[in-house]
Amino acid sequence: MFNLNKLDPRLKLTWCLFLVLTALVSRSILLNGILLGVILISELLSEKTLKNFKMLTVVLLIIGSQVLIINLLFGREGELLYSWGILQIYSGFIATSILAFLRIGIISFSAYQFGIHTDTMDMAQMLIHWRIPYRYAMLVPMVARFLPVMIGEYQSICNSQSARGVPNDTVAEKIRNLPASILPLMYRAMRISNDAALSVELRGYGRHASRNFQKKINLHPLEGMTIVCLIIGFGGVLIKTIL
Amino acid sequence: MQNEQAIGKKSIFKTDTKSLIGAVVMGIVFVIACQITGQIDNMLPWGKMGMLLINGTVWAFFTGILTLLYKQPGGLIAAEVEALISIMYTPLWPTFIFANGIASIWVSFVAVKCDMTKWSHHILAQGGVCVLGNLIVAVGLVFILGLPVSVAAVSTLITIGVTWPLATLAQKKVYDALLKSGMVK
Repeated sequence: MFNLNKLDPRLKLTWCLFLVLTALVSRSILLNGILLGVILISELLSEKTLKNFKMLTVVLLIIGSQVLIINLLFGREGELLYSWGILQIYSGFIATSILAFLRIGIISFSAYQFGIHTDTMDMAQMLIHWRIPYRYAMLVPMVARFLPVMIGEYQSICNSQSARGVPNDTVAEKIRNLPASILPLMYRAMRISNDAALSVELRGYGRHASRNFQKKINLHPLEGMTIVCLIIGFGGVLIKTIL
Repeated sequence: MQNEQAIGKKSIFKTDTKSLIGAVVMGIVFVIACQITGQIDNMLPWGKMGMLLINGTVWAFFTGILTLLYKQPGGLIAAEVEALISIMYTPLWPTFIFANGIASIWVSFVAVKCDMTKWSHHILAQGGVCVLGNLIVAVGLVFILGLPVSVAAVSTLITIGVTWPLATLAQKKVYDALLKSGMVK
C-alpha cells in the first residue's frame, strides 16, 4: 500500500518543491485547487486520516481570513462594487483571496507533509549524498532531538515564574515578562549546547571523514523517473505561464 | 575543542562543534521567542492588520546577536533552523529562508569590517537586517499572501521603522553584556 514514509527523501523533496514553485508561478485557481486536492488525497491514501493537518488548518484559516479582510478593504482589482466614503470594494478581491488561500494551503501543507513523513536521519543522509560534510548534515537530527527538550525547558521556566506569583494574563504583562522568560531560556540553551558539544566530541563526532548509518537510503529507478517527470511538469507549467 | 578553527581575530568563520551545536540549540530558542512574540502581536491591533512589530524586533535581534556570537556558519544555521521550523505556523516560510540567510550574512560582513564597540556599528548591522529581511518578506506578502502592493509597502516601512531602533538597542545592550562576561572575544 502507498506509504509516504517509505519513499526516498529526494523524491519527497522534489514533490514538495514542485508544489511550492508551481503554486508560486501559476495564477490558475483550477490548477492550484487540483494541487491542493492531490496533497490531501495523498495524505489520506497514506495515513487514512487528515488529523496531521488539523492545527495547521486552523492557523491557515486565521491567516486566510486576514488576507480576505485586507483584500476587501484595500484591493483595487476588477470593477467597483460598493463605495461609501473612503471605503471602496472592488470585485477582484474574491478571486485574489481564493488564489491566495489556495496558494498558502499548498505551500504550507506540502512542506509540512515533507517534514512529518521524512525521518530526520534520512534527511541527513540526503544531505550527505549531496556532498555536505556529515558534521553539518547531522545537525538536522539534532534539531529534531532538541526541539522537545527546549520546549520542555521553556514550560518549566514559565511554571517557575507562575509559582513565584508573576502575573502573565494581559498583553502588557506578557510583554513585560518576555525578558524574564527568554533570558533564562537562553542561559539554559547555552548550558545544554556546551554539554551536548562536549558529549558528542567525546563520542568521536567529527573525528572521521564519514560515518555509517543503520538504514541507508536508496533511490529506486521508478522514484528517479518520477523526479524527472516532476521537473518536466514544472517546466511545462512555467512555459505555459510565461506564454 | 579539537576542531576549533576560528581563523584569526577578524574571521567570519567559527566551525568548532560547540558553535555548531550551540547554533542549533539557540536556533530553537529563536523559534520559541518568535512564537511567543507572534502570539503577543496577534493580540494587538497592529498584529490583526498583519504587522508583527514585536515579533520583527525579536527576529532582528536574534538574527544579529546569534551571528555575532556564533559567527558563520553558526549564525546561518540558527537563522535557517528558525526559517525551516516556521513551516509549522506560517506560509511565508520560503521568504524566511532567504531573509534570514541574507540578514545573517550581512551581520557577518559588518562584524568583519567593524569591531562592534560603537553604536554606529550596531545601527549599520541592524539596518541591513531590518531593511533586507523586511524587503524579502514584502515580496512574500505580495506573491504568497496576495496582498496589494501598497499595503505590503506601508506594512514593510512601518515594520522597518519600528524594529530597526528597538533591535539595535537590544543588540547593543546584550552584546556589551556578552563582551563583559567573556563569551564573545
